Amino acid sequence: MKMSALKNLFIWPVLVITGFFSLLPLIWLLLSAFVPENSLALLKPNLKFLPTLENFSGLVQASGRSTGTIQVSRIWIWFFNSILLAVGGTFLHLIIDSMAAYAFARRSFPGRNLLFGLIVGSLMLPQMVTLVPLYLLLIRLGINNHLAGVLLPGLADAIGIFLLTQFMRTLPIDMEDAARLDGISEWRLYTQIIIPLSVPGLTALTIFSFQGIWNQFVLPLIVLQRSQSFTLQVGLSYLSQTEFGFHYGWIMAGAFIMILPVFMVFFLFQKNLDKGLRIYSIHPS
Amino acid sequence: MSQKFLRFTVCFVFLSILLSACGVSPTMESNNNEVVVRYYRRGYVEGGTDVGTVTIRQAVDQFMTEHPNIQVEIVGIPWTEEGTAKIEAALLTKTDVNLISLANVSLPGYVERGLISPAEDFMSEEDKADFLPGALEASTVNGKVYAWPLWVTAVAIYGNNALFEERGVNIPTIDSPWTYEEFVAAAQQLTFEREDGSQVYGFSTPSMPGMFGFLPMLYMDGGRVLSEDVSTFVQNQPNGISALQKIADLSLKYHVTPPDFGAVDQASVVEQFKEWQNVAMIMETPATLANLEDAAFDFSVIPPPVGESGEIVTTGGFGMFAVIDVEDEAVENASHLLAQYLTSTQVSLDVEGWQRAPGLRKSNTSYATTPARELIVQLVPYGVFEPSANISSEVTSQYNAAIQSVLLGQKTAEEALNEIAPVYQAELK
Amino acid sequence: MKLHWKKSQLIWSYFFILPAFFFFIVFRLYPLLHVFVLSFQKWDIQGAKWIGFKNYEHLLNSQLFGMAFWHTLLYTVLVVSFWMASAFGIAFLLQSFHQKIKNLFRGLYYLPHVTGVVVLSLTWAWIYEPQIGLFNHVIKWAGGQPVMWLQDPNLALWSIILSSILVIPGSGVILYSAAFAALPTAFEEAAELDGANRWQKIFFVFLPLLKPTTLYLLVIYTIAGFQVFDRVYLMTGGGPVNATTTLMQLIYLTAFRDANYGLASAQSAILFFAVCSVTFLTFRLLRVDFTYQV
Repeated sequence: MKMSALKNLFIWPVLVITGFFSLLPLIWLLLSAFVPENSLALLKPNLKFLPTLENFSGLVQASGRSTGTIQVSRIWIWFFNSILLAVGGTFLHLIIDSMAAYAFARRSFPGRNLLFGLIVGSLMLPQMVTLVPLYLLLIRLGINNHLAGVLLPGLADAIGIFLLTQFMRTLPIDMEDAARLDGISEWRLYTQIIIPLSVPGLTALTIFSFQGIWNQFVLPLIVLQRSQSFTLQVGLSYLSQTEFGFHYGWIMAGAFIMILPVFMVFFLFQKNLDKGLRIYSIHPS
Repeated sequence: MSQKFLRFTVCFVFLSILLSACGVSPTMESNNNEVVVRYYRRGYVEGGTDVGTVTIRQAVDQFMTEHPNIQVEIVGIPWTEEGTAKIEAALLTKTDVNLISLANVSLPGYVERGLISPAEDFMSEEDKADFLPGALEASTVNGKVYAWPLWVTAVAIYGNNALFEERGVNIPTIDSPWTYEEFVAAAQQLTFEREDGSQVYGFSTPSMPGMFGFLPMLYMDGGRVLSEDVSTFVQNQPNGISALQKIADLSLKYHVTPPDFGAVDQASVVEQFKEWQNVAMIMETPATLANLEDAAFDFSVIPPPVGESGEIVTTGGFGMFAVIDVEDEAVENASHLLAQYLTSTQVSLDVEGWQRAPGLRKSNTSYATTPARELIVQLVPYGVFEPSANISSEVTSQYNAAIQSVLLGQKTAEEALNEIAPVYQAELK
Repeated sequence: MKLHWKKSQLIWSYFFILPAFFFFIVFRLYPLLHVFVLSFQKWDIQGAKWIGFKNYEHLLNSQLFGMAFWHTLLYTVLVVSFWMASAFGIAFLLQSFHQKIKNLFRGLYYLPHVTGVVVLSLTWAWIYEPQIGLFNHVIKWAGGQPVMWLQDPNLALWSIILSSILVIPGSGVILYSAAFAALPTAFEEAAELDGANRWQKIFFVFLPLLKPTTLYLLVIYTIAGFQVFDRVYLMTGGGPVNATTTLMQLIYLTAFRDANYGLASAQSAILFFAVCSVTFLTFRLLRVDFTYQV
């Protein structure tokens, strides 16, 4: 059989069908978010798919208003918490990971391979088994119920260090020596030479950190007990399990809000992605 | 170099602190003479507009105006096992929760774990004289009153008047209630397909572990879960088995329930009844009655069907407040003060719509303001309130799973109850 | 070579890794060690008490724990094998396409990964909804009886597995595609000269050459599979009748609903050893020295 015939008869259908099922949740999410709830719900034959924003206004109203000093819909409070966590966390990841990666990739010191091995090895450990002691620890530190309780444990980021180390190893070696001969301090060598050269790697890390923190679920679920400190993920799943019952239109509207920032970051930085993806795309779903 | 190093370190530390401080802090600032009470309330929605949320908010605001040195923070948690998890997580911190509302069945568990500060020491003589004896009894563990009784609930059936009229079904009264067979016939009559092709079902009730709505029907043939002296599991006797089977038959044999019956939560049941109107009858607690009244929904209260025991049986629980034992004496006292206010007759006068179930003080007669509520009050004396035993949540969840497996047609009532009996019995010692 | 380190250089080196290791030790290593300590204790709000192997004994006799283990194993084996096969298969099929089409498809497969499990699970719960969900919608339209995807105890776990395998793992497709692209063509040409057919080429050329990628994905997916929680928690909460309770769901309930932290730690420890031994076996079976290179 010729390649082109095979393509048309077999490969294309397989790709289209698997692609369709992969995207089915997303397609259904978009449809449900923008179609009036009752036309989805009642299975009436005269379905009219007129796009509408009523699910969004329903969601914003029904999710309740915060009672603190700023009185807005809780959805916005949660959105703000999620953004704060993702932006702040990504920023700290970039600093901490790039420092460690610089040491592992460009400097030599006793125990380097052992420590790097430990970091990489920790990728092979199931993180979730530490959930119970981690929660007890956060209580002792007094940061349960607090965004910091979600942020700080996430800063032990093996995968980011690994990615950046791999990246920094590919940088040319001689400019460091040249810089050192110029009498530059170690700290300035890192901030003014290594960091600017590592921008592509850091960009990839930005995307993945943001995505990873944004989509975090178990830790915030356990750590954040009060509705005013929920993240969007925890808040929306809470609503879907309790107060929203059958209002799937509202839940899907919330899910749409939830995917917007990650999709924006994804499409903005997509060009820089391929390099990073190869090493980094290992948070499986 | 060292200067820069220092600058960096300072920046780093500052940034970390800033970021963690930025996190919306739920703990309120408290100065020296201000006490913060954290009150965990099931079903409370921050900023919500349902009756329960609005009235509790108003009552607490009223309390805070009267006691300016006490700050009350209400934490809403769901009725499900998820809510239990939230309380447990908070208990672990020893400070994050000061007051909880709970049903009488869960009180002994908390007391035996040494978590509750007894209400008795704080109750005035007037309080003790004013509370109905049954209410105090329900809040008593090992001879001591541990909790502040709020109200008693009685589960009833709520029927959609429009659907009853459309299908020509008469609404029974408390003097001539439906038998189980008549109830099934009515439910069958109310199960039909509308002209637009949508399906209407006769009956539904919450059936997720942790919030079973059908509990009164477990007793309709005269059976009980526990023997009176709390020593034996007796639900696997014939009159317990037959009742459970009759509940499961509604879906398995008579097909009068929506397809999600057996694994449906409370919010969905109420929504199907109230908003979609594709369920004609639901079995629910009086809290739902208040919600339906608030939404001006046209409904009737129907007594639970009568089984072989020959009389109406309902059940429910005593809603009560328990103060968590914490180290800070001032917080504990403030929590008792709040509990006292929230269970007083005064609060029902201060907050319109506060009383969502019959109150437990002799001086409090503010509940029965409508015929529907009148009926609930009449149902309370028919209530079976089982003695509470301290069953671990693991076994409770196994028991719930056993019941659910019957509703879903996995096992017959006899199989499931005989299987769970020894496990349950082991907990009773 | 004997290295000579200057003291100031050394201090700088350790300074650079200090923040990272601080967080590692406090939030990874310490909790990991603590989990084993806790598993020998009865730990409640009043404090800790040593009880030896009681927690483990309890688990040995617990029917629920056995069920949870079995559900987790079933989920992992099925989902991981489907994910591996589909990632490899699709990357293989994509190979013959023009770069632009390749990129388009890789992007499409990667989108659900960006979306995150929470959104996917909420959407799947909605698709599976018994009365008005998409699947029963379609079934009803085709004249069938509604299926209780998540309410039927015999079906619920399969529905959850289905929701996982229907979404092709974008990360795997991308990794395999990259690995295919990096393969030297010489091997394939040699095989073609020897008259190898398509299947022979897959089994004797591609699979062996792609072993490092396979090993890597296998390990990562298996670890993720054993820890499945989000979708179970969001779609069924472990029910109905514990039909979908997985190990993580059980640990969550034991710790945070039943307040039995010692027992939950024992469950965690068993999960830990299960994952470690499976990972170890995978490494041994595939016999590749793992060189941090992907």
